[in-house]
Amino acid sequence: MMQVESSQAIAGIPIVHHVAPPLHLVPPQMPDWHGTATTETPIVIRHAVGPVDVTGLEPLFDIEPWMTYYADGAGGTAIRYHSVDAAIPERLLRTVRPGVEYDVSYAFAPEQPVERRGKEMSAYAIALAERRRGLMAHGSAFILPSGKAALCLGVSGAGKSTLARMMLERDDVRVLNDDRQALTREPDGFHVWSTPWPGSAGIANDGHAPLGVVMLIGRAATPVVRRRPAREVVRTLLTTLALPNWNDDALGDGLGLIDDLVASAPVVELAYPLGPGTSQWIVDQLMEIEER
Amino acid sequence: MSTEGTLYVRAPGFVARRVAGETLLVQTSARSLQPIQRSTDLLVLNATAEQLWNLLASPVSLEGMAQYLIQDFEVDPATARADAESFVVSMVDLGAVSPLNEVRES
Repeated sequence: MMQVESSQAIAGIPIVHHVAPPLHLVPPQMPDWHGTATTETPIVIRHAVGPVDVTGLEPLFDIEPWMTYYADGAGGTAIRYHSVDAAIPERLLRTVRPGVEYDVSYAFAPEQPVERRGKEMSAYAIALAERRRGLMAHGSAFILPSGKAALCLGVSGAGKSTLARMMLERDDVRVLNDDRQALTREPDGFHVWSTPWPGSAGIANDGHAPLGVVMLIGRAATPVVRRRPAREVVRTLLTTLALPNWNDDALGDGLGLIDDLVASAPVVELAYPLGPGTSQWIVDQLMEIEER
Repeated sequence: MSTEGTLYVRAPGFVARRVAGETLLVQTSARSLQPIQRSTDLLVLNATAEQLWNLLASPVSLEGMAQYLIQDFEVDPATARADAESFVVSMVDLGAVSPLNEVRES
């Protein structure tokens, strides 16, 4: 009997998993995550044991040792997750209906339950871009006292989770998530939405807010606000926003979203040492920049 | 390179888009859903390169590109030919532009 499991909606989009026995998936364990109201049709992911066949797929690139991305020749993408542990099967995620439906084939049924986080996060990021709703952002985020969100972008090791932990101790900000946000384009501008996929700090709280400021995380011996040329800012955005690289039209729209983003929200690099006054300095700077 | 009469055209897999006041040329396979693992190579096209890229939406020869530069950028023929050839060579090396016969064969 096929099992159907639903996640809470992320930025209004729920994810429904159809799991064919003997597969058994484990959802993300996020007690503080309850999702948003559903406003869009769900993303459906069908999981089943089956062949991991990449015939006809065009390899795009490898992310060693974890996965390989492909273009499927029909405007969609596919991801092959390599077996880095003998107990975990090779898997293949394929697009069935862009933005709506995806299949995941497992080379064999593992004895242990499989975490569904990886496939869920990938399918969501793909669908968000394919729906032209927005892009998945690799960054932490928190809501400032003004009610606007600060989106703090950075690659792994940049200090996103450290920043989120710092902000968690404050009463005047609300931390959304320390690693992944949905950045969407709404009628009134960009919004930042928390997701159930945290980083090393394990923070995944409910919430969303209009985007107030984009912060790039830097390092310096003394606190400094750096204005960076647009070209450098865009380069950083390209490495921290999940663009749909498998489809020319979708990629063009994604680049257009970045163009709108830098035109509508301040982007600033804050570089700072870690210390007792750091979080206050960051909040003060972001509030000042956002209010300008 | 031997270019006399050769027609060139954009190869698939590249997107040019104006972002933050600059025209970026991005390869579709150069981006990742897991950007932590990737560095991004992107090209910024100047005004001349942007216009030549636009011309290359349809097959065009070096002579055709040079003629365009002569008319719209008011450069002398030798400079226009050299600029067009330099641009096409760099784009062919990148894989963003192909001689038309190669596009037809691929």
